[in-house]
Amino acid sequence: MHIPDGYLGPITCAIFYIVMLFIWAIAIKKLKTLHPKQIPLLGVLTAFSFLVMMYNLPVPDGTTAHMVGGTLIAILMGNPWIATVAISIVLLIQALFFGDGGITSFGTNCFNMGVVLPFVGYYCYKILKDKIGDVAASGIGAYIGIVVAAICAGFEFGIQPFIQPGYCPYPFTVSVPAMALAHLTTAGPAAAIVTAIVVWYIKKSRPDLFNLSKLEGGEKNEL
Amino acid sequence: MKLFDKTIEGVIKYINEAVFAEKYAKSRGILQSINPKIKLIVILSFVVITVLTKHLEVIFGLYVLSLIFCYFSNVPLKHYLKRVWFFIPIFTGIIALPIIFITPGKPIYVLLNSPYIAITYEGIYYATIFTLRVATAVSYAVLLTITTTWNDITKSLNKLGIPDMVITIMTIAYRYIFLLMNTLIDSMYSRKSRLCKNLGMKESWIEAGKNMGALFIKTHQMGEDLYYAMLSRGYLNEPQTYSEFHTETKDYIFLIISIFIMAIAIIIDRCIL
Repeated sequence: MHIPDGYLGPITCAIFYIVMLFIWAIAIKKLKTLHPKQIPLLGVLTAFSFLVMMYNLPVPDGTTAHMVGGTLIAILMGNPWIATVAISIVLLIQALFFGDGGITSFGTNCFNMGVVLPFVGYYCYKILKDKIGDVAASGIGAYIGIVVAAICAGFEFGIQPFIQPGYCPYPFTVSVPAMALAHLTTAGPAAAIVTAIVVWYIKKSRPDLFNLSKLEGGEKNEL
Repeated sequence: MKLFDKTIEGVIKYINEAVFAEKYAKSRGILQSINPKIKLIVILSFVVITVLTKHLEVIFGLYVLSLIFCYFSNVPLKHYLKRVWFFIPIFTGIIALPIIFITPGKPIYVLLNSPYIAITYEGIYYATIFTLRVATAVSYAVLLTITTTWNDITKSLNKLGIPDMVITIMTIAYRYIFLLMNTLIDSMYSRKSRLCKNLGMKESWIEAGKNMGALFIKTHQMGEDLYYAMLSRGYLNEPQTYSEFHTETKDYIFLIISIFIMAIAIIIDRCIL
């Protein structure tokens, strides 16, 4: 889902940068309300989400899929804004240092994977968790989050031929089904199953780590 | 064991790329000697110009310019081309292949008459411009990465207005990626060395999930330790860097020449062609 430079035209890139500037401003405001203890934690968590993207899971057709981990971080931290910051920083490191995802399309990538994915995933989880339990809800949240994010990316590809030629050449009819299908069948199930297993494992072995931001916000008076 | 092997392969690839990047950042060359802040602005502008241009000739010119930069920065051309072309532009070329046939226009070679399928001039032009644009943008991004150290980039970003808090998180993240990678490799090898048989699909997914969960618990512990370690050393919620940037005459000359080249590229693209 990492869109490289040159796939999206300048107008699309500019619009998403402007949208993201507002979102980043809100996210940074939210960050400043956090306990200082959480800043280093957020640093290592960002490294963690970088690594989560590297787990290659085998899928039946012989290839591998990887997940983004946005929903997982949003659920574990109990706050999707933290996932937005972590994923944005991961994407910046990847764009500048590892050539994954473009610089002009950085705003768009942050929007898809850092905003749409964790917010959709987290709120699906929140709505469902009382009805079907944490584990199943987290899996379904991760699945819906990644599929919706992929459809967004497909949509961004799909509008390119209508704006200006020379960029991504395929219209909606091709790009949206292609992105949706790949994520419905491979990356989506991978994200769902792994997110559910991680949530189950952490709930079982360290239930105290659940909803970290609430927990550590309470400690604020102590220091 | 696909899960373990592939993941470890990925980890090693990333580490190699990072080592490769730092190696050339310290050698002597034109781009290495420029003030990182100016270099960051110039190279990012070149990426933007590449995305903005409409004509193949201009994009080709910008691509050749990136090779010239690479040559004068003492980066071996073979490494550079491999790093740039391997994966993203090649993948782009493959997905651009069908447009050679489906773009309407002047036929060059007719494959089939009913249904009518032909390679068109317009199709080839579209596929070439799309692939070359992606390759050129990637070339400039790689150029920035391989001629600049991590600290210089984060410091330049800070000077360009990225908030302190984000820089702190980014710096910690970059350091810990490598430490956590080692933890990940260790845990995967220790798991693999205790196996008597290959795991099936279902088992390997459960193992990956547990592994990720354990990594999260470890990460959380590290974050807490790190905070106390920083606090005990006088951390005041703001990053401190020790290197100072000085803008010299050569930086201004580089900036002026770059702006001149960009202006020419835009003029040729929008007014002449």
